Amino acid sequence: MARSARDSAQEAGSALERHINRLVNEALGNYDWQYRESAGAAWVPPVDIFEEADAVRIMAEVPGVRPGDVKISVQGNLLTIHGTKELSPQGGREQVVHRSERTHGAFERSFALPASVDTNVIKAAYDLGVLTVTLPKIERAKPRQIQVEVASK
Amino acid sequence: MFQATRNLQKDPAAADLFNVGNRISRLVNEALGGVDWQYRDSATAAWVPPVDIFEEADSIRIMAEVPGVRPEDVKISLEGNILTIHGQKQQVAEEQAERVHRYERTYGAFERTFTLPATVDAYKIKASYDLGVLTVTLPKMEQARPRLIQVEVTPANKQLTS
Repeated sequence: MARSARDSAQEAGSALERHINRLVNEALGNYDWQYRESAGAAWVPPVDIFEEADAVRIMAEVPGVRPGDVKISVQGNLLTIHGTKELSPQGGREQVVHRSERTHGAFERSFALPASVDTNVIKAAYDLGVLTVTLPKIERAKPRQIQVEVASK
Repeated sequence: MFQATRNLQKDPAAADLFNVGNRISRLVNEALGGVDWQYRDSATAAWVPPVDIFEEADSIRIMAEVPGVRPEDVKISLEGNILTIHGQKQQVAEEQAERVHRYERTYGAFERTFTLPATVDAYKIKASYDLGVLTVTLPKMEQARPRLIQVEVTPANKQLTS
């Protein structure tokens, strides 16, 4: 009994956390990074999107997904990451499932890219269950110094 | 602009859906989970990794999703029959970031504790890490494995049947 009370407190806690994250993301997120979720997806990977001086990086947590099972596509300014998380190898018939909290199956997430990104040179890497998509900025979108010219007397 | 408003409205609905999803898996897990597998969460942990626990004839496997956690940052300890998996997800990329567009991943300390059934051989516990998933294999003790028990026929009855 005490356990389910704690569980629901925990659930309220994580719901609150999601709410806070959403507020933060809405405050942070400009409309460029709005995303659509696919109705066919079983789960949606959480992402961080960081912008650096010369590139934008999308980091998606896809634990248990083999790199070969991830597809990244660009259509117009829409970047889509999708793939499948295979079920972990099952044992024999005598197998008992004590906990099943991980989600399996198809995932998909799309991002509307800002015009400042060069869609021809997108790179992706996979490490420790995290997919990193690097989107270099086009030359004229990179920050640069503007020289102040001193008017001659 | 209209498109953008619609997308924002879609978000809370998606959150509700996730809540329902969480609730369903909790119900399933409560039905499945024996008292043996109840867990305690640490108050200091920032996040709790989701796990699958499978039991086979000769071993129990715990698979925990810990994406972005380096294997050397994971500690597994056993005290009595309490197995604890804990560690740290370090944030690498944010320092160089000039602007944060989305921040959905959780970083920092994680911890999860399991009460093992007495049938596990504590000295043969193994752990491996692949694709951001930590697999802890707990072999069962010899006497806990399923075996066939031979029915012996007593000589007296043997005579009776023949």
